[in-house]
Amino acid sequence: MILINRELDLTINIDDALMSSIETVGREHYPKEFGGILIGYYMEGQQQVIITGTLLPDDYRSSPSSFERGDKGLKERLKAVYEEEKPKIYVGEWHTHPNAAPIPSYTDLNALKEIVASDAVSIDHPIMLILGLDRKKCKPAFYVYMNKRTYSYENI
Amino acid sequence: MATDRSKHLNDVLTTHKISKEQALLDKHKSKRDDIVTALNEEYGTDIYSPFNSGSYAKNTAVNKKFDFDLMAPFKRNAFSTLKEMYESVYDFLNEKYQGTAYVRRQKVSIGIEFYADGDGHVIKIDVVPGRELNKDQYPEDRKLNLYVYSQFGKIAEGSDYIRTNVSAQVSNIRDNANRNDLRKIIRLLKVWKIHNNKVPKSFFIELIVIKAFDKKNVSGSLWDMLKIVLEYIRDNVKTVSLSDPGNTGNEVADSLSDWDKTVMSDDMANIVKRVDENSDNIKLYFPLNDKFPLNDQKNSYGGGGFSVPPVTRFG
Repeated sequence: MILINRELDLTINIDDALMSSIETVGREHYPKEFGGILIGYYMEGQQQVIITGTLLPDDYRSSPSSFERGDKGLKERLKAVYEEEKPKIYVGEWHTHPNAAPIPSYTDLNALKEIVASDAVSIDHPIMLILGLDRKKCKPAFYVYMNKRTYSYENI
Repeated sequence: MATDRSKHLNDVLTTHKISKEQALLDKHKSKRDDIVTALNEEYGTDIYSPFNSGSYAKNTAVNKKFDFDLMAPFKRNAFSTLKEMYESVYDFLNEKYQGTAYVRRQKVSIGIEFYADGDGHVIKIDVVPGRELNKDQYPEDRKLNLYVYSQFGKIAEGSDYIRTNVSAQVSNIRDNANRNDLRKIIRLLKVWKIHNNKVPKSFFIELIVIKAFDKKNVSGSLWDMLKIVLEYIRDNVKTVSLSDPGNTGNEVADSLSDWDKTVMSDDMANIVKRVDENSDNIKLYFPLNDKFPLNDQKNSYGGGGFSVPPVTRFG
């Protein structure tokens, strides 16, 4: 799957199988929210991000309307993928919105703001994938945080 | 057009993020690990576990100029005198890194500055040897005596050692980490110090900023907060007492001469006055790091180094 934001001229590549497995994990936690981090690498002068996988949190708290991703063991796991022959880095986050539209909430926007402000984060514009889930359907939507707001992507 | 002062200060912090220098940071960590291994091999059971003790450990480092401080805690009976400890570590490191680094005696540490590598990177690591006060007491209270090779300012005048607790110094910043934007203000003052070749030690800056947060209601926009701290320093630096959290008997304020305190007070007054006169002047005192320009002109994901995101709540 390839997505683009034409205004920013930024693209996202993510394998359909990875999208399916993220949906499966999200559905296992339905009707509570769940999520994880997205890993991958940048190409084309950092205008393209290739999302290669997800790391699920070892610690988290969730309810039907909120999800807190912990960071237990995260550093070590990110270090392991960073040290692979083709290094992968943290590129963003994903989480579900059970029985709700995949539109960023105020909490989501604040979350991205705090991530970018963190001194341990070197990327300036993280990706956020939200999966709007109900019992039958899954509607994914990708966003990037830039200029203190989120920009959405469309499929190409 | 007037400069948005708080936005500029946020941009200053962004362009000075330590994680932007990932390759240099990784090299520092690698050299530090080499040094720890070498010290452990050389001193065996005479040494406790060396640990990071500088701005990196306190999370107040900026990427323009940074080094690692490595505390090397020795057992009481490892050496009969502190001087012997200091000289032994110097001799060992000097011999080990001869031909690959400049090794020099500093006030309480031994500085190792590795020759520039192929990328032009210079790795600097200061090793601070310390000895526990009494046999087997260090694991309990973390207190150490440091040897003072040469004396600066008034600190430790008339003696050749400093008693301190470096773990407490690191904790002092970490324990204050949840105070609103304290570390942002510390980093901004470090940017000012580095870009303007100013005298105050980072430790002095850290303690006086914490004091300002203790004494004043530091709130508002980033510029509002910085201005409150600058005004506090302007009004109090000549008389303030700054106890070393590692040993309240150490007066860190004495590490700056009366003359340097007057200069610092004048500097703070000038910054506040000139930035209030013209917001563009903030760029003179707190410049961006040109090595990492903001991505305003061309959209890109930006960054690309190793990152560890914090605990994050979504809704």
